Amino acid sequence: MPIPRYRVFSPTDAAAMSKLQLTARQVVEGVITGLHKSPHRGFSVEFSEHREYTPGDEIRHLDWRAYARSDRYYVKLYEQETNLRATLVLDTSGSMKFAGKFDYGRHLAACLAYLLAMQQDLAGLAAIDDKVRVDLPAGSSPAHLDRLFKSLEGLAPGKSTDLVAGLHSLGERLPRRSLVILISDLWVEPAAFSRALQHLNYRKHQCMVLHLLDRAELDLPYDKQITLQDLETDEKLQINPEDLRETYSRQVEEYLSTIRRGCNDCDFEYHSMHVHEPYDKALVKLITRRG
Amino acid sequence: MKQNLFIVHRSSFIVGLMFGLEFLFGWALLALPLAGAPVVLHLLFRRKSPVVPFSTLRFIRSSIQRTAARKRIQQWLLLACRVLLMALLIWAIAQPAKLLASRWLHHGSAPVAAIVADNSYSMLLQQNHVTRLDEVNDAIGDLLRNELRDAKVAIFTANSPPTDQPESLQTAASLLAGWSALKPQPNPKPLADRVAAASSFLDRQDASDKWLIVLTDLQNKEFPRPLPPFDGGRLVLLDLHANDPRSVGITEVSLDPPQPVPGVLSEAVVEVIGRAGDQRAVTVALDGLDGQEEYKSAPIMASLDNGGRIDLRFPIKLPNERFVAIKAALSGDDDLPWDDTRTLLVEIPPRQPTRLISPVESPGVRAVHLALDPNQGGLDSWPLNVRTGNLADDDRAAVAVLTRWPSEGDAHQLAALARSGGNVVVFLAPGLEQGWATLAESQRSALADLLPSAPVSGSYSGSVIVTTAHDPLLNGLTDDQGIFPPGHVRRIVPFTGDRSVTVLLGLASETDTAHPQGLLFRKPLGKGFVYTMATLPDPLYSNIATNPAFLPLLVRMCLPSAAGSAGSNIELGQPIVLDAPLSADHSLNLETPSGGSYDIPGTDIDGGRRFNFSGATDPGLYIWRGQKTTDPLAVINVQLPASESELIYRPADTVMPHSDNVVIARSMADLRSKMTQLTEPEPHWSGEVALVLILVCLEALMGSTTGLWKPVFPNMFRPGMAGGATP
Repeated sequence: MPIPRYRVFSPTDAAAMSKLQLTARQVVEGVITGLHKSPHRGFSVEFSEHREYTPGDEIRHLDWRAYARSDRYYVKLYEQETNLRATLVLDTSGSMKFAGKFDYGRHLAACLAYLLAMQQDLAGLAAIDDKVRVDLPAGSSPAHLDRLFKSLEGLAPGKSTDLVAGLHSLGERLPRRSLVILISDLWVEPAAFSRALQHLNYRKHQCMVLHLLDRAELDLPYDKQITLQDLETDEKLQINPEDLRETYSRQVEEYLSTIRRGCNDCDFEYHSMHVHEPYDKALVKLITRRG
Repeated sequence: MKQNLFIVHRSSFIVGLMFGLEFLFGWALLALPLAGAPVVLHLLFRRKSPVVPFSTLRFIRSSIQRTAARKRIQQWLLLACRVLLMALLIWAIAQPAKLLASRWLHHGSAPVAAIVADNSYSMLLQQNHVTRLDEVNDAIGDLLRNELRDAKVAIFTANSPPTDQPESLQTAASLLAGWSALKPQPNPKPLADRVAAASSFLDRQDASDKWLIVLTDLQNKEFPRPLPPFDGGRLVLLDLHANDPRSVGITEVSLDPPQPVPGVLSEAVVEVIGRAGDQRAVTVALDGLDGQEEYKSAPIMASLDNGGRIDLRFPIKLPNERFVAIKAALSGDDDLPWDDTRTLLVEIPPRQPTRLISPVESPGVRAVHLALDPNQGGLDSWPLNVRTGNLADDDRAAVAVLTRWPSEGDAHQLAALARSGGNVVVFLAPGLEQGWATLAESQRSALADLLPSAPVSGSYSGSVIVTTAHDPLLNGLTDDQGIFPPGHVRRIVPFTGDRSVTVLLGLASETDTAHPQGLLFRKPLGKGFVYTMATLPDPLYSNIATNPAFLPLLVRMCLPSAAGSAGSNIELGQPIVLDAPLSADHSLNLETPSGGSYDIPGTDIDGGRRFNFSGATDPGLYIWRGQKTTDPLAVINVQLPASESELIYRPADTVMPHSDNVVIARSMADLRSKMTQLTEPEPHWSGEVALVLILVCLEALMGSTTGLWKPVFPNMFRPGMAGGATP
């Protein structure tokens, strides 16, 4: 596949991704038979089991050898191989500007889209801040991939976020059993976010949460009195980091636990990714970990 | 060169008055606004904090909510601590000084001073051959010439002046011009009263600068209570007591038994006080009125006990002279010489003309007669000259052994003898009480003057017991437990006795020892006494005739009491008073120890004439004589006050607690030194410095806790943290 030059996806990235295989942890319904097993048994390449013939079955699926041995009509059943329908959801809220998380997320999304295309899976894109900015349906053609990369390049971080509403909307619109790959810093209400995940789960979607975090957000490593400005609301607060560090870290830890618990409750994958780690290495590590 | 106590040169320090304090470097207080520097720095520090974009403030806000209150309090405390630290630092640099200095300053008006000088006899204690009184005299002269030279001064001595010559203010110059050294005086009242009088005197003076100066040895008896606070001015207490007074003194000489009987063995009891453990030899001598020494005892060593006291007993036999001075003396010398000797004057009465009256001869009468004069007139020194028959005018005692009630006239005669100072002893035969009711009313009335009460009926018997312990009449006649020699009485004339009667001996029956019946009664009548024995020394009624105490008891009852003696002992300061009968001269001559002679007119009083002399200034014998007779009528032994020998001192701070307006000094040099200190400003900033150090520690602790004290690291913001840098 020719690799055009994109700002968010370099040939080097492509070389790294080609070695990887992205495997959904659960069987996802697909259109193209690929590496992902489909829960729908049909008549395909890989034999699954025998079933007694009933009127109406196609006789081309009759196992004549079995008939010869047993003098009964058996129909051969095959396990159908499907391709994955994944939607990359990128959080474009103002908080993603902090510590380069937005660029990190774009690169990550581009790599994942390419990886999916490489293994004949379908990749779509949705960019959400206070509303859904970009909504590319899933596809795997080079032209689709081109559109997806250009869309990523054209994105800019917004102000406030309504990621939860966006997820609810996606859950309704996406075809059943899609894979939703959420790339966000998740500065949302944990309870509302959990409800959004439950909604996706209810719609039989699989979700992978890639949580982008910066170390500064975890342990507030400033030494001197500073004034912090909220990137989404522009609110300013003068603080003495020394005074707050302990309490802040504890609260963030509790928050992360809540998010992680929400994902586990829905049997969704949760991966925290620190932006100080190069995204390609982080991605390789992620795929390797998933097996 | 002596410096004026009351004037201080104030040019050495700058005075800035604040909160009642003066400051040595008052200009430093101009820097007090610098105390606000921490506030300014705090405000500046707040403005300069850099703006750092951050993803979300949600957790920051909730963290602030959780810690804000505590942190805010810490910060305000830290800020207050720093402001206080700065202020106190400036305060300490300004060196506050106590305002007390200026309160001792001379304010320009002529000061008024009252000097209370203790010139009691305890001030004669010597140290390095200088008495305390010498020091008082020197100090007064010194004060008048220097510190009080511009003041008006009144001098209060230990003894109050006559009411028509009260203390008055005089200039120091006029006091010095007429100054003569104070001499010791007796002071019957404590010196604290004189200090109170001086304080009251100063209160009445219209002056703004008043000084009460007390010069004393602070002898315990002089200050039975702390002095009241002196609010009207300043009080200087010059404590002149000796640290370890080397003195032993004789405080009392007494006779035991107190009634002197010539030729009979007595004991002179000498009380010695001084330092615990000291030992001094004591001798007793007997001197006649002419000073001739009649007897001198061997010395007895007085070893003072832990309380610094001892009583020594010297056996003496009094000579047959009318007046005898029993003089006790300490050997060796000490720092207070005047109390090393002390004298007791006793009058040994002449042989008492004693009349034995008995209507009939009986064994009881014979027993009484034998007891009154066992030598039957063969011993000239026997104190009683016993005669029988009717009462005569020169009789001074009468012993009546009555087996029947006397006539009214006889009763009146006996009563008259008692009223004139004689003693009457009445022995009553049991059974007389039965005839009492048959007597005429007038006879009963005459007898009632003599008897303890009207006799009552009843039959009593029992053992003789003492009913009035420690009575001088029975002194030495009982054993150590106060028990009378065993005696038994079968029958008595019962009396109830009235309030004026003393029951000396009683009868305790075998069945009732708690309520003894009276046996021997003493009833005062006029100047004399009537003794009534309610039985007879007859074997029919009792066995008291053979009792070993009977003879001395009977003789003592016939002798005049020591209280009625013409020889008496008083202390200097007390008036010399002689009560004489109306028959005495209208004026008497008084001879003083210094050889002076005064005619003292008498003043008629109830039933007699009183002669009073209050000008005794020297100890010694004061002899009263009649205008026409050369024999002394009475002799008064005037001695120095014994209580002045007790050199027990009170700590000065218990007499006058320390206060801003009180200075207590041990000498004039000490006083000057303390006054110099008081009039110099006293730096008083150690407290502030201590507070500063505490605050520094507190500030460091709080600063490190809040993080506001931490040094600023150059690399406080890591690259890429602020402003959303790329990873």
